[in-house]
Amino acid sequence: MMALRRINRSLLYVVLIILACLYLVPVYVVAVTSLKANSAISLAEMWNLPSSLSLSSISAAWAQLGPNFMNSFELAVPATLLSALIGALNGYALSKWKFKGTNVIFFLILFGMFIPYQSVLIPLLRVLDMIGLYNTIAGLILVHTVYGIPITTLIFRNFYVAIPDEIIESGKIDGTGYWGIFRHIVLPLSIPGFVVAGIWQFTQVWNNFLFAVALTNPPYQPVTVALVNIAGSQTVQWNVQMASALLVSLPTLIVYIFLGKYFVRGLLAGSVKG
Amino acid sequence: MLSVRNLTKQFRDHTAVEDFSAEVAAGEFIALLGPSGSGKTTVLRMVAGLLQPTSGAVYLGDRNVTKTRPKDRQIGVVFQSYALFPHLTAGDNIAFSLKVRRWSKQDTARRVDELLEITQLSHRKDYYPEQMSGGERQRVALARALAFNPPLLLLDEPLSALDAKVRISLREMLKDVQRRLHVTAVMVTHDQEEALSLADRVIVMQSGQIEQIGTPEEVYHSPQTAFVSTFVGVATPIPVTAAGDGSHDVRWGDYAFPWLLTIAQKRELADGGTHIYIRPEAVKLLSAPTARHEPKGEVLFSMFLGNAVRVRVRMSDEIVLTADVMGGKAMYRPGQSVFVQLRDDRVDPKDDPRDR
Repeated sequence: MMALRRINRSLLYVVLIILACLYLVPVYVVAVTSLKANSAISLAEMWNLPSSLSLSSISAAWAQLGPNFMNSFELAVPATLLSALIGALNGYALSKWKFKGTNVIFFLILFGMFIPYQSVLIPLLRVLDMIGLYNTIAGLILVHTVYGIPITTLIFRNFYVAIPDEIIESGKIDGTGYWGIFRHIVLPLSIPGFVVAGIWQFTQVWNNFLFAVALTNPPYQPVTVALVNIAGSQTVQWNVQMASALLVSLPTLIVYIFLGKYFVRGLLAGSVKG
Repeated sequence: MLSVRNLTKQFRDHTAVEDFSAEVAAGEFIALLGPSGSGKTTVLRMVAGLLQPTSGAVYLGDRNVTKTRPKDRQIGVVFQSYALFPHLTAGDNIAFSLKVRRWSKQDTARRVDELLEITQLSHRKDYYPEQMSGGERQRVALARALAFNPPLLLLDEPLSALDAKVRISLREMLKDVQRRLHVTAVMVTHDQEEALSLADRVIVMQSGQIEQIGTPEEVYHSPQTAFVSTFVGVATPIPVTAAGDGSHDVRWGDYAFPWLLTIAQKRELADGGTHIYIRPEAVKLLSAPTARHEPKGEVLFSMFLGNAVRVRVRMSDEIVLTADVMGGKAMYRPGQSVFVQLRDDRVDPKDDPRDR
């Protein structure tokens, strides 16, 4: 019995490892190609490791994408922080200061998550134009902040439900009110919530292409749009293309690697009752 | 000091508290005692200002605070679940309300140290709640509630989340601190032993209404309602009739014995008969009847309690008496026949101030 179980286990791992490798094949190709010189790239040698390491493609990619990288940071960081903060305030009000119609309002806010981006694109463009934010990073920040509110509200509301009401009441007794309780009690306890909402929003904003391409022109385009522009040139430099893709995916990867454990913990924190 | 007038709280179609009125004197320790769902916590939350009454008023001194926000009522509250701020140390938890009230740094530090000493927690000042035991956490909660010198302290089942040993020692500390700081206290509890041992007066509640207000002795020895007599302590009702000679004696079958009756019971007795409630310590077990014709019963089982032996005795199909035999070494065997004598320790027929 034990032996049989061990064999089954091993078999399971073999299958899982094969599937994982299969899943990672594109990543392998991207990484390998980006480290080759342009002349060393051919369909026949596509799967081979580079014979000599060449970092020229990476510096070439950086030369092209550098300014757009900065655009993306200037967009993603404020948009993430703003939508997380608004989500925290919403979640706090909706979970700890219930009023008549709390659930209706929560439902309506969540409804925003299910509006397809494409359907609002033209009116969105008109509105931004009217308020003078078309083709600006600030305009993109506004759009992403607003579009992030439903999910951040959901994350924080569920996170705050797990904070016992007696702690909030204790704050009231100790002499503070709505904002004091938020600032001194709820906010310090919200770090896991901010990590979850932050990772989610940063990834969403960073990877977003549709709003970026519709609402900005050079030189204000975020890096996702610039990446596609590189691919769109006449002769495709595969190594530069792949190196760009690698560079663009790096920030979200780093964010997840460093904060990922909080992500899993934070997601569970709201749903599992302590 | 605290005056609660005709408080009523309705949740949709359910009345949680109905026409609750009580006066609490300064320095008094009041226990709100009742089973879960009796509305005692609802009363406490309305006094604290965490819940708005449907009707009625709460006065602190001469001040009507019914519409006043909790923070402006100057009331300390100890919650059952401690409700400490998990991101703050014990010292910072206690200091929180002082910071909010803008006390100076030195005053805050001095007050925190003072409270840590009173609650014997000085060595835990820099510990976070999760690093402390339940008893320590509840002591921090007590210190925090007392920090800004509130004249009134509310306690919501403060000891019920703790194990038996800690509960007893914390009970003593609570009483001691309350007396030392001369703070008025109102405590909600479902534990009658806790209520009787801590409180100056007990308010027994059931189904949102007051059953009785009185000192622990009054509530225990002169219960005004059937509910109080069975909820506070163990008591078995037995039917009695008048003994006929106009004295304090009542008759249960052939057995006549003295018993102190309430006015209502006396009235019922005159009308034919009433019930009296027998506590375990009022029952004496005999192996043979005397000339007074004690009724006979059958031992169902006995339990050794340490300081006493508790015996359950079946008198008839309806009546099973509980008897505590103090210091009892004699174990009673199931099926054994015994004769019960009932004695009312409170009865002194010659001179009883309560006999009206």
